[in-house]
Amino acid sequence: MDEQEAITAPGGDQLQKGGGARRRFQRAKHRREPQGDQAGAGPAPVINMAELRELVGLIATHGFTEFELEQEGFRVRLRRELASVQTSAPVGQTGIVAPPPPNSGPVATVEIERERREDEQPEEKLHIITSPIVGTFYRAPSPTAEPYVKVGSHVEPETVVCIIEAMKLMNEIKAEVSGTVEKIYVENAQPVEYGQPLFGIRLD
Amino acid sequence: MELKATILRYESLPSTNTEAANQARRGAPEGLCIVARVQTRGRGRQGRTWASPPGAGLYFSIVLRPRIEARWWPLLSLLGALASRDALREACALVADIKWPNDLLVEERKIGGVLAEVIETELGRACILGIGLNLRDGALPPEIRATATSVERVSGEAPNTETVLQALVRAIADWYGALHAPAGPERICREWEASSSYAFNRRVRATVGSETIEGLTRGLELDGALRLETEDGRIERIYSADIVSLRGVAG
Repeated sequence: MDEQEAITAPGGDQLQKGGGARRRFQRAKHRREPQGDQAGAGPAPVINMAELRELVGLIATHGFTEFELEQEGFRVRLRRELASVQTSAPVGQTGIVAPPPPNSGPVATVEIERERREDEQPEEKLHIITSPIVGTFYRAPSPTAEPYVKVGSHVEPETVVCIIEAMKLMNEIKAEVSGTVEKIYVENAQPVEYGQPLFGIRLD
Repeated sequence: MELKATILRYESLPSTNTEAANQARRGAPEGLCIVARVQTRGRGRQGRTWASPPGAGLYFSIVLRPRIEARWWPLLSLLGALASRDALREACALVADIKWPNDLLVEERKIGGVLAEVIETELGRACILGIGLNLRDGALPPEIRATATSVERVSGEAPNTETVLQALVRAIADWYGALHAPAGPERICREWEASSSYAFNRRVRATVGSETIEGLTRGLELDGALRLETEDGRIERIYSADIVSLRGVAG
């Protein structure tokens, strides 16, 4: 089994931790559509309160325990402590609001961070290879074969780093940069989302 | 949009997909078809083997260079199944079912399969569409006889490999043209739905790694994902899973 820390992914609008088919299928419904060619795409708008409430509703309805959304210089993280009963969550103005009451039933806590967490600083220099599609991540051509790359492997732009499978179409993913594999964020044969970080590469 | 096919025939290859991929990397044009009478290392997904004894099956791969948006590329996998079904119908008068996304079944046993691989080449991304069809009984080693079948076994007659090949290439060209036409993805999906007993109201279990989800099938999304309605009424979209029919298990 690969290192557990592998799943702490930097950036991206991925959901932290867990994975697993059921949650992934749900996530697929809520992910933002990849932008088409026509999107001249200025900076993404900062989320407003109505959207935040909607998000909280979604995590309550769909049984997420954690949800994280990051846009430029802005991050929302929603976490539900006890998932047995659905609830509408308290939402405040800014900052950290509504600490869970003692002996609380299910509540949602909302953190809004205006800056990146410090523990991500070291990773900011890594080039992140993300998944171009929704599918299953394979590190090797077969379960018994050596992985395409490991932590410490040197990659060139043409180096195949993994396969992503969707509808049984096997997609070779290339590094597209030169550098050294420093992080692998996903375990073999796990589902991945569009845009989800797969590898962190220390560029040459 | 017309696909011009060129067929290269080999007596023996390790794998037609590997050969087609190698030629595509060196710049082979779209439409190059690789056929072998025997594969010594015939393969399926994730290193699974595809039994390929001499002359017992059709072992075929084609190089495609689609000019469609990336999100529609997975439909090539479904297209491979549609074309195979057409070829079996035309050349062998056989009606095959399709299990999501691209297994070909007759009497619930696998008669053919598709291995679709996307690779980078000097001419850009290419899809190698590999198709294996079990034509004669000799295609089935003892260990898969319970779950696989052949044209000869179900129709009592061994088909002419060349006839099946020609029908298959024609069908691929037709569906490939359709995929590139306006509303192409929708046509592929609607045809797939019309061809598969798995498309609607089929109780199935989808397995991804160690996770499973059960539900009733509710057709396809336009990108080929399978829609599954779970017990609590939600629609899940399946992009990547092994599907097992629960008919007979859960009624």
